[in-house]
Amino acid sequence: MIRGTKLGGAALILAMVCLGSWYLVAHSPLSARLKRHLPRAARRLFVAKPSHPPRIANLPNLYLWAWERPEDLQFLGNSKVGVAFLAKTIFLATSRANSNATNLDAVNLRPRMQPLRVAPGTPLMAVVRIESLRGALPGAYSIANSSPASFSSDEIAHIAKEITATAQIQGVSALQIDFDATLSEHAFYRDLLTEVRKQLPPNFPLSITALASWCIGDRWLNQLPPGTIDEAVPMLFRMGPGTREISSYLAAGNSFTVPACSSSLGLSTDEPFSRDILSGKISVSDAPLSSLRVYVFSPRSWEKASADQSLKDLPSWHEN
Amino acid sequence: MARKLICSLIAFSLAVPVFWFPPPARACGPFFTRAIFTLHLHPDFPLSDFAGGQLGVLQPSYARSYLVIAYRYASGKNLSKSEQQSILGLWQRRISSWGTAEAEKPGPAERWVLSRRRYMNHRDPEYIDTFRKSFGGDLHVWEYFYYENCLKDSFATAADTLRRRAAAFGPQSPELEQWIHAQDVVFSACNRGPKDSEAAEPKPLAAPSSPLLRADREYQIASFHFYAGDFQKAEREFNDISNEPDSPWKTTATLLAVRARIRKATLKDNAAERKEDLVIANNKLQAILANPKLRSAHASAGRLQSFVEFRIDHDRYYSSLVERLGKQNRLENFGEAVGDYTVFLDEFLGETDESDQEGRAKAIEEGFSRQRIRREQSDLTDWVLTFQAKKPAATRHAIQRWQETRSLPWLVAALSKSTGDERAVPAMLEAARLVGSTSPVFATVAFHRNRLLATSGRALEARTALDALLVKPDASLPQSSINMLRALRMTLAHNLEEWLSYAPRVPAYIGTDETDDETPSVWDTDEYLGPSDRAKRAELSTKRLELDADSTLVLTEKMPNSLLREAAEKAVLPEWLRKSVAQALWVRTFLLDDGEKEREIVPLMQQLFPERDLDLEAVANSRTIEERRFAAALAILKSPGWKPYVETGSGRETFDYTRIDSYRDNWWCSWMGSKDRDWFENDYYGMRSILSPPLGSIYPNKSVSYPAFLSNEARDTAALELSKIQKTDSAVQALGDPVLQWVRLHPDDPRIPEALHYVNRADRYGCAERTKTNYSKIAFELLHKKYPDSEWTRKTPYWF
Repeated sequence: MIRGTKLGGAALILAMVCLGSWYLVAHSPLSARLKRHLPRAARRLFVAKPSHPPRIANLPNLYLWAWERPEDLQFLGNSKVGVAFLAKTIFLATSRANSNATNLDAVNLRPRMQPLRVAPGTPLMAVVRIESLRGALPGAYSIANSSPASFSSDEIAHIAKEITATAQIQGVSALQIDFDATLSEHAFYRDLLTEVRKQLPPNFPLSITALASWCIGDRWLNQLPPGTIDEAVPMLFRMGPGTREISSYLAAGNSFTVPACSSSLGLSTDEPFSRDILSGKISVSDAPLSSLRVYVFSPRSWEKASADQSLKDLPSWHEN
Repeated sequence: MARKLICSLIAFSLAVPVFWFPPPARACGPFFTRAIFTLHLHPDFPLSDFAGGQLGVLQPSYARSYLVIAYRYASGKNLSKSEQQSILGLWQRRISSWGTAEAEKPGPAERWVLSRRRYMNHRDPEYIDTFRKSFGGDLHVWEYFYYENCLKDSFATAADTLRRRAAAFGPQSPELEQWIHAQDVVFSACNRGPKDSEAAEPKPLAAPSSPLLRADREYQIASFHFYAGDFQKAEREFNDISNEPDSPWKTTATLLAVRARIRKATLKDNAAERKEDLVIANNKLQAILANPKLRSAHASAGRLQSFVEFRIDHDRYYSSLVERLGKQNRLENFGEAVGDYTVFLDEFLGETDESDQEGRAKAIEEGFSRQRIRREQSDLTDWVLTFQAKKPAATRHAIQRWQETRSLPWLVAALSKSTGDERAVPAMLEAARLVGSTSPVFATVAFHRNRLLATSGRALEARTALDALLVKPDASLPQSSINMLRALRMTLAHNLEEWLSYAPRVPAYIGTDETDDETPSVWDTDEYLGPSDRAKRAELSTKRLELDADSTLVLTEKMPNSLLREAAEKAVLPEWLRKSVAQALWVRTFLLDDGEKEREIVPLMQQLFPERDLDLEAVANSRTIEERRFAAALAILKSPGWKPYVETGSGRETFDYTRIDSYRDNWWCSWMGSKDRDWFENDYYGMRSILSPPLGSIYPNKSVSYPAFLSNEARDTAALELSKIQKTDSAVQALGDPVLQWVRLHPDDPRIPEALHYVNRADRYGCAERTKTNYSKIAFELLHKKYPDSEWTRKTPYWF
């Protein structure tokens, strides 16, 4: 009896020591460096499943991006796969250097022009793409003049209103903004996101796409007021000249260092790097793919057969 | 003690993020100015030359709309002036920077508001939203999209009518005000559904009003119903107007009645109903086109007919297009027809995503095989798809088609694809010889004929023919074509002087590597360029001769230093290119540690780089190896633009060798290091010394060879020198070591602080390659410990 009690006590102590060690190992800065040298599979032991912020916790784990082309996604039926569709493009237009036009004159809108059809009840996310021609915002792309953008708060509120209007499209349950903001546009984008959040209903999910560099190098997203965005989706395709650097960085076992980027991924069906991630050949996150929200882009209109082929290894594709 | 500990902890915590920071990622930019010697996606600007039949040396990689035009000219079916204008419109639309049209300000609706403002005391109408949401969808399907309901022509017509009515009735007249109010109601329907708009419908004018205003009002009412989506009513009303002999809107209304039918059809979900309406619309359009009294509506009717035919019977429309495009029949809407045709070709090949270059290339090769039946059905389609494909089967097919037809388009295709090994080559060369200089395809035929002559052991013949073309090039020959001919001629050079005379070329286009280099963009305009890019473009646009990658690769990798010296001395090169060669020679001689040669070229360097006169003199006067190495290193350290290779194209951000480049194109990276790099990083040599696609026809193996005039001994020397240079370290190490050695030997040399300052800078602004030694820190510490009072120490406040 006494022996049993002793053993039980020892086991309890051992368990506590193990748990304490695990906690220390998992959370100490030193361990983070050490972890980088472990295989990703081993590192997952130290990593908790990424917790999605409450506003987006109930959204599907898989979204198909429906871009500006005719899309008939009725084949998704009643599955739990969502559709993130381009609803509107906002052009921050030509330079105002030589004109006395107001800033709002520099904004053009283009709604979705290609038909999108889905089964009623499909989880929908409205995507607003922002295009800015270089020079549209003061200082954009210019080293000499890197002053922040100077849209007034009223003008930013106007642009935000155009964005948040898409949240009112029938059936839309989340909003995503897609803007490859340059360094000098970050201040404008930060103000815009803050304003969008202000205009949205408090519990309405707000997602943004993120250049991969925002998630590992240029960590401006960390400066956003807490709770502004619910996720930043690292775009791991069409990365241009940075493709090799980013893919090497991730394939070498490094992870996104910006917390907002840790719970989702943006992939494409037509790039090898994306395909390897989708098929599980490559892991780019310490968290398992099944716990991330995955957004998938197709360069052509989605069809059931091609979607099946591209997404067959994703557990969330088979959820009903 | 505790304070020390706290300070250490703070320092540590501040330092950790600095060292822990992951490497920066370049998802976008930087974008560099690039000199392009031969355009490969489209012909040279102005495109009107190409539309007019000055085809130059055709590139298979041109967008297919250009190849259609080339086929027409090659077939002797020249474009009429109106066809030329029409195709230029298509190219203009397609080549415009993406997003520019969408960003156009003021837009069409805004221009209407501006016109209206003149007459309405600056009172503007409500905001006009030209897009309207589709009203499709039901319980079984959720549907979402907008369409552009009010197009730009409607606003232009309104503004024009407003101006005329203001002149007729007076700018402040009640008649004009009534007209404007009715027009406001018309445009208010642009984004409203039929039910929303019922209340605001414009009312017909009573009899005492002017007949003109009454006619206007009838047209406004019909237009209102059109925009409000009541197409049946709109069609009926437009038909009524078209039957009124005195209405100024008679002709326009005839066309708009058809447009109402078409709009109704395109918004229908039911395919059979849609087709039924489109067939009716098509019949009406044919009637309009057959009616000479409606001539002013024919151009628009023709465009609408294409739109309708495309949707009624896809395949039939394609067949009619290829038939029409293949003939010389002065097509109305020629540009649109070519545009539609290329959309068909894109669809056949399965290309959708422009950013996927590899996928597009693959689609062309696969499409050639897969579209055999379509190729058999149309010579035009066959020619375009064959001309673009690179596979041997395409070459065989082109030769076979030429043998069957003996036509000029197929001679062009056969010649351009031939490697010179085919049995038909002699016959093709003979046929090519007979193509006269006035033929639109003369430049293409001449280029490939001479290319094949050269590969068939008839170099002398090719040389003579090319010289005849290049001594006084035809003024109509595009710069891209001249550069292709010069590139070919360079490979046939007898001696260095001849080689050098064909190496420099005038860039055909100055682009930005942001996308594909060749697409003009608003970002290339002065408004958006930084000062250095602006200055560089201004210089390059003066037709300054530069070197393409084929020349710089030979100079850098296939010539011994002795020839580089000759090249730098020869007046055949312009001074800036002599300098480019000379600086490479200097750095290479330094890396090879050839003191004797170094001294020999000092006068040449002093002549070309007078600003380095004293530094170079010091090399000449040096008494020991260490001093020579130190002096030579110092000269290079003071010239961030010097490197062991010859620069391609536009090169660094600045032409000034003494200035620092903002993107670390200063000093150089080691060749060995580049093997470990996934991406070019700061390996500007690797990034720029890539043969362009057009040069692939001269260098099918994608690599240059030794110039033919080079002896075996010279080739061996070149190879040996290159292999030694490729094993040397990056600049900071190659230059830092001799400086540090000299510091140890002669710490009192007054040049040392300056040299240490530059070592520090080279480590910071030179190649980002990591070295085992931190030269920047060593130089910094030496300066601050041993030379604290030097001005160079003050100029060196940090180590990196």
